Amino acid sequence: MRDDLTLAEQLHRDLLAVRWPEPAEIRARARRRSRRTVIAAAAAVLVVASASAVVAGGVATHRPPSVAATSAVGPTPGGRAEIPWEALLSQRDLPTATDVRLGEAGLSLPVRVDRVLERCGDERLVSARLPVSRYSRSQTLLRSAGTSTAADGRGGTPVLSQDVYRIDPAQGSQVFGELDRLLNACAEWHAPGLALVAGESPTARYVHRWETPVSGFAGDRSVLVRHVTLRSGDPVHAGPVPPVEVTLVIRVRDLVTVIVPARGAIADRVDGTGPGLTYADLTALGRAAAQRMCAAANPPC
Amino acid sequence: MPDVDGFDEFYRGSRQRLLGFVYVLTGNLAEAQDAVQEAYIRAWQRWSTVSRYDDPEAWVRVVASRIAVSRWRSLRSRARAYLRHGVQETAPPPNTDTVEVVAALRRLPEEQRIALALYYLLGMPVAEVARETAAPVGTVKARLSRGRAALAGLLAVSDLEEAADA
Repeated sequence: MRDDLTLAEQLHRDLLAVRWPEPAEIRARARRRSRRTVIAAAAAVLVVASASAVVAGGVATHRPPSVAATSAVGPTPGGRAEIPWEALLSQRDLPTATDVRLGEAGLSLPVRVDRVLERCGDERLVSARLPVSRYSRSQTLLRSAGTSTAADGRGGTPVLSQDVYRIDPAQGSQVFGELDRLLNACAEWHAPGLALVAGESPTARYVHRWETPVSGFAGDRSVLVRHVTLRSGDPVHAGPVPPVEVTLVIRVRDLVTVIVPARGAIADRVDGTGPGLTYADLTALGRAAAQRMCAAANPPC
Repeated sequence: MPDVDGFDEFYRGSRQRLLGFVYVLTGNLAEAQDAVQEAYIRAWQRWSTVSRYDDPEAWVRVVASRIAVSRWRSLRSRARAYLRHGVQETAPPPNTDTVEVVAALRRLPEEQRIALALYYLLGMPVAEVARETAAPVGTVKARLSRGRAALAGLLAVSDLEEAADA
């Protein structure tokens, strides 16, 4: 018997007091989830149909004004430090309804853009040297579950996450420089099991591809990173077409934000189809984020 | 008709083991519990397939660990944990020794942490760890060796022979 089993024994003892839902509750949640998926799919069709009708009718959609590009400048004496909530996107900025906002503030946290990309960089010996922020604030905007689950206070679907970092202005260009370096080194990366695809073997291998289809749409500098994950090997077993993952990175003076819409919340799929936020929506969202950061930046813009 | 009894037995028999594994990976009990429950929900949604796997627990384990360590982990799962459990964790916090070990594990690279958890916590042979993590046996041995070295003193292990010989 291994002497290390003391860890297992210790953990077992510690976790004995954990209360578990009954198996019937787990099965019931799965059933509710399946029902919601069906309803959501039907609702998505309606949303697309409504949006098409609006576009066809020539109705102008509200978009926040873009932020003029400015050069990075040093912090002003007595400049802004903590990042206020007002510097982050609000629920009103999203074309998708959300009703729950969760978040936290941080100190001295490293800027994180895409952990999978960073792992690729580590493997290819070009580890990212992303700056450490002075202050940061993060939020996740969620859409609460339907009436059936709201009653017991459970559920909720993440729609978007956003991190805003205040960095040393001298490091303002470092974020994008490091990002460029990672993207150049990792245009394509083969790796085991970093993405979860329903019904796939746990040991499946995947191909990750990154590209930057849009840039320069907001703030001093901005880029939209598109990350496609495909199962490598036999296309017969490729399963459903997975959604792509999109990350927006925007800098406004000494503030950098990283915005990640939830997988499946954007229109882009690997095959170019699907409901959700379009690239026009996403760049408009980026401009709204830049505008909100302006008032909290050093100096404000 | 899905095998309700089979799923219930599987859930009751494996959940504690799985929670310990994910807790070691994440260092946060509420998040680990949330990820594990989510994995069982997904397992039941496709139980007719998962139950026919040679090792359904391996499937749930991989799903739970991916949920826990995915890029959405920090905020999304915290949000879910909050929504499901409120601000109170559903169990008393682990004792100081466990917290210390888990904190030390958290400082290790993810690959080492997973290898250590599979090998020492779940008792898997090196070859099985290699299969589950899709890594060569030599790589797994190296990860175990480095991980043990980093945790020396906390896990009360004195040599690396067992991992090297496994």
